[in-house]
This record gives sequence, C-alpha cells and structure tokens, in this order.
Amino acid sequence: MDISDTIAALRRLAPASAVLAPDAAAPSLGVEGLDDALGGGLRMGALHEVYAAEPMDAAAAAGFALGLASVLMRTRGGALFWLRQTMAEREFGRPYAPGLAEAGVDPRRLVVVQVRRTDEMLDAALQAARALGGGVVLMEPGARRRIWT
Amino acid sequence: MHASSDRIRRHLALRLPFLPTDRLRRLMAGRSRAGVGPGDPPHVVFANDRGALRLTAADPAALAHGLAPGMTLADARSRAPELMASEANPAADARLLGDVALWCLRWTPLVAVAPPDCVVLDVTGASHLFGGDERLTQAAGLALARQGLHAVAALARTPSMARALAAAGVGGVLTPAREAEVLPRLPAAVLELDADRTRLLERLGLATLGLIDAQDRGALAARAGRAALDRLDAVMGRVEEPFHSIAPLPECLAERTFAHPVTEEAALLKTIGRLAGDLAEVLESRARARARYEAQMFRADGAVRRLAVETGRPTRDPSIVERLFRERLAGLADPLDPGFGFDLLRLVVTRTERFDDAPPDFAHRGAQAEAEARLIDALSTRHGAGAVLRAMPVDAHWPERAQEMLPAQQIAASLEAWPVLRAAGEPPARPIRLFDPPEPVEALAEVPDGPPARFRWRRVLHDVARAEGPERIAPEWWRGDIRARPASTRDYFRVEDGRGRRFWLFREGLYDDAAGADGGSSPRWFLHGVFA
Repeated sequence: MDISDTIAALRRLAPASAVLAPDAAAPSLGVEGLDDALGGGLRMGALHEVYAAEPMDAAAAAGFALGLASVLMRTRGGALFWLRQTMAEREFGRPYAPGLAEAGVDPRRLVVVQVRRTDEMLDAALQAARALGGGVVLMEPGARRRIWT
Repeated sequence: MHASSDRIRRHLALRLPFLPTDRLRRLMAGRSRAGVGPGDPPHVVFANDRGALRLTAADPAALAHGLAPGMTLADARSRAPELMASEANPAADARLLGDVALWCLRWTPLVAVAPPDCVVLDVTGASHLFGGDERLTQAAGLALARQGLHAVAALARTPSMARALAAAGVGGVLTPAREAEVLPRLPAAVLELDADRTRLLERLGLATLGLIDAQDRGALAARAGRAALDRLDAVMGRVEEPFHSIAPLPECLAERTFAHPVTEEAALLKTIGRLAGDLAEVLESRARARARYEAQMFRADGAVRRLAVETGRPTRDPSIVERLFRERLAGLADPLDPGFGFDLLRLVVTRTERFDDAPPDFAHRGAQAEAEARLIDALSTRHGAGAVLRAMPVDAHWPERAQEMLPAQQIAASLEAWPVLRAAGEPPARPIRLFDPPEPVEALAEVPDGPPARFRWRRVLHDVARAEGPERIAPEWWRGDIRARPASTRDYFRVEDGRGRRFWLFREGLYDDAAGADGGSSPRWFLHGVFA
C-alpha cells in the first residue's frame, strides 16, 4: 500500500468503524479554552496530529501526546501501543518507563513497537487501530508525532 | 532385535558418493538436470595436500578412466587429458548435504546428517505412507537422482547399519532376518575407522566384518582400540544409537501434497489455514494450545522453504494461524521464491504448552485484552519479536538499568506497579525519555559542584533558568557492570532552560576527584534524558 493511501485509510477508518465509537463522549482535557477549541474535548476515533514548533521541543510534543493518551487511558482500559521508527531512538532517546510512570502513563499498559520505515509504521498503526477498537495508538515518525485514539 | 525397543526401528541411509562432482555439475547445468551424460568429460575435484594437488573426489566417468581420490592432479591429467578439474569446496559440499537433509524431511520428521556424504532418516512407522520400505527406498533414490545427485539408498534397522550398507554400495532393504547373512560380508572399510586402524585391520587380513567379528574381543580391543569394537557393534546393530535429528520432534503435523505444484501465496496460505484446522482437532484432544508453527514448503527440485510463527498465548484458532503466516510472508525481506512450485506443504507444531499451564488470569481477560494479544502476535511475526517490547521494572538505582525492554510476546505485563519517585507537588524526578548512552554536553557551572549555568547540547546553547539537585547516584559496583567505561558516581540535576524545556543532566565523578586527578581539568557533563 502506498503511504498516502495508508494515511488516507487511517483517516477514513474513524467514521467508518462502529467499534471505534466516534460518538462516545469526548473526554475533557480539563483546560479551559482548549476543550472549546477542540469542539468539546478530545474527539474519539480520530487521528490527532501533534507538531513541535522546533526540533528541540520534540520532547514537549511527545509529552503532550502522552498526556492526551493518559487522559484516554484513564477513561477506558486497554493498552497504549507506541509505534516508533528505530531512528527515533537515536534522535529522541528511548521511552523511559520510570519517568512515564511519574508523568501519569502506566508503563504496564505500554507496548513499544519499533519499525524501520515510515510505511511500516503506518501499516502497523492501521493494523493496530483496526484490531484494537479501544486502546490508544501513538506514532512517532521522524520529527512529527501523531496520536490515534 | 534390541530388548528395550518393542518395535523394529527402521532407518534409511542416503549416501551421496559423488557429492562434490554432482554439486559442480548441477551448478554448471542448472538444477534438476539428471545424472551424467554419455559424452561428458571425466570430472575430478582436487585440493592442496601439503604442497601437492591431489584428487579428493572423482565422478563415475573419471573412475572409469582409472582415476581415484589420492592421485596427484598432474598424474590424473596425463591419464585423461580431457579431464575437467575443479578445486574442492568442503563448505559448499556440507551446505548441499544440509539442504538434502532438509528436503528429506518430506519423508519423515526425523532426519540426521552424517558427514561427509550421508543423511539418515528415521522412517520407523513412516514408510507405510509411501507404500512400504521397498517403495520408499526406491523413491528416495530416484528423487535424488532427478535432482542430479547420485545416491545409494539403504534401509536397515539401525542408523549405522544402514550407513554401512550404503557405504558398501549395497542399496535396498535389509530385513532383520537377513542381517546375519549380509552384514558379515561387508568390507572392513564400512567401519569408517581412521587410516592407521584401517591399515592395521588390513595387515591382520581382516577384510570383512565377519572376520573381524570372529576375533577375540579382548585381543581386538587391545590392538585396534575400543573405538573399533564400538563401531563394529553399532554396524552390527547391537547397541541402541542416539539419533540427532536436524529438526525437533514435532508434537503433531499435517501435510498436503499437490499434484500440480503451487506457486501462489494465496493458495499456500489457504492450505496452511486448512492444515491448521486439521491440527486444531489434534491439539484439542491433547488439551494443548500454545504453539510454534512451522510451515515447510518443499519444491520438486530439492529446495525447501521454512517459515515459523509463534503464538504468545494459547490458540487453536486456524484463522489466527493463517493470519500470522500472512504477516510472516508480508514481512519477508526476500520474497518466497516458489520456482516451479511447491509440491508438498507441511505444517508442524514443534512446541506446545498445556492449556491449563496458561496464566490463571487468561480465562478472565476481556475481549480487549484478547485483541491486544492478537495484535502483539501479528506485529511480532511481521517485525520480529524483538521489535515489540514491554518495559519491565528492575530493582536498580542506576538509571540505565532500572528498566528492561523484553519481547511483549514472551512476557505478560508486570503485575507490580512501577515505583514513583516523584514527591507530591513536585515535578517528575525521572525523564520520559532516556538517552543510552548519555550524550556528552559542554557545560559551564558557576559553583564548582553546583548545577550548570549554561550548556550546549547538539550545537544549541541553553541558558539554565532553574535547576534542582544534585541527586547523587553511585554505580552499583556489586552488580559487576561489564560496560566498557568504568562507571563513576554521578550528580544529577533537573534543569529548565529559558524556554521551559526540561533536561536531566549529570556531572560524572565527584567534583574533587575530577579536579584533583587531572590537575584541575573541568568535569565531564552529560545529558541523560528529557522531561515532557
């Protein structure tokens, strides 16, 4: 599958799939203004993209994405699948469970998946989103970061 | 018959007496070409033996010209000027023998390699599937001949007996009733003793096994060694021999032969699904479930493709097995080369776990957990078990050691909660991402043992606005860390730059040590992690 097709499929998946429950109540982020800007909270069954303004802010962007993930994980069970390209390890460091635990993400629910290429990561994300229904999938390609709920 | 076995074991030895020359001819002519053409020149293989080029193997045409292994190459050329000579490649010969052994798995799951030129199949209870001992022996010899390999196929009770028969060039089936008649007539060479012992037996005039066997055992052991007696007993079938198969004994297997060789992946996967369905019934009756499945695909020309998938938790669902193989095929770096097609597909279960050995929480896990486990299986199959990981806590202070990443397929999530160092109302004490190894930074501290005032990481200068620390972490010398650099005590600081980014930095070594030892050189700083 072409990369753009995969991305398109990921975007289409949300409204098409009933198990993803796009109508489920959108959890509030607890920040005034932010919920309104997002149309009443974090939308479920959607692909959220998080960008860092500068490369140095990549950690903050990851932290934000993890924060969104932890909001979702608080309201429902299931695992967090964190898909990363192997190059991200060198670039951004490896996920560090002791710190994640303190940041509110339970490492026991974390599964880290390392793939080499971007298209492999997108394929894996599509597969994970289809398979899980619930759960949270986090993608970490190069400098961009996407979150799928 | 040996007293301890209640049924007669049967072993088929396939000896490839012309393996080196057959291999080269196949290389030159392409696979699948049969035998030697009548017009082919004699072909020999040579190697450098202490400065002289000597023949190590000769094909049938060369033998007919009177050439034999051991002769010098110059001598051989003078006798047969049209001679084709190639350099010996024992490693390639051994590889081919291994490939042949693999392909022989199509007849029985138990196959052993007997270097340099023999494979042995344990066909106990298997030969009736191929029309009996005689038919199987013939079919095996023919199948190898079709691949361009001369073969002597001999079937007998024990592996050594079958090998001895094949080594003597006696093909066919030896029934236990005729052992006493045939075995004593075999030449002493079939014992495959070293050169000295072979010469000794020759000098003693002991040319056949019968003559050797008639000797006084004590005297024989004294002169030819215990090893010679052991070999004799093995060939005569007096001892129970171990059998080292190239593949583990399967728990169960199912297979399907195709009248028309199959090339399409879709058809192969469908067949795998069907075979998995057959196996599911067997597994059901044995109350076993978790498994390592291996698909063995045999090509008519002697090539074998093997693919294995593992399930991280019990399953007998054929559709899951089929899906895992689909992932495995999609993840192959080299495509599955079907050539002219596979004529036999076998699905083997090599390791199973009793269903009741499954973790106790298994039965109570919800559909969500089930879906996650399936996803982990699928991703592990596609990207490798080492790419799908869970973090497990390790009771260690040294930051790099505090977590261990392990394949998610092999371990369940830990039941123990992770320790949280963060004090109430405080920012996190540990970063969300760790660099391993830590990245060196240039840092400038205002106070010798205080936090850095500014530091440069990846060519960007950061002014430290706030800092917290130090937190001193001493190396865990009692663990015998084998890392190349001897670890020294670290002073960690949590720092925040002017734009709110937070970093985890440490100074290596006690400040006094660093200053004292190197005559006042500045201590080394590292960035170990980043906070969200």
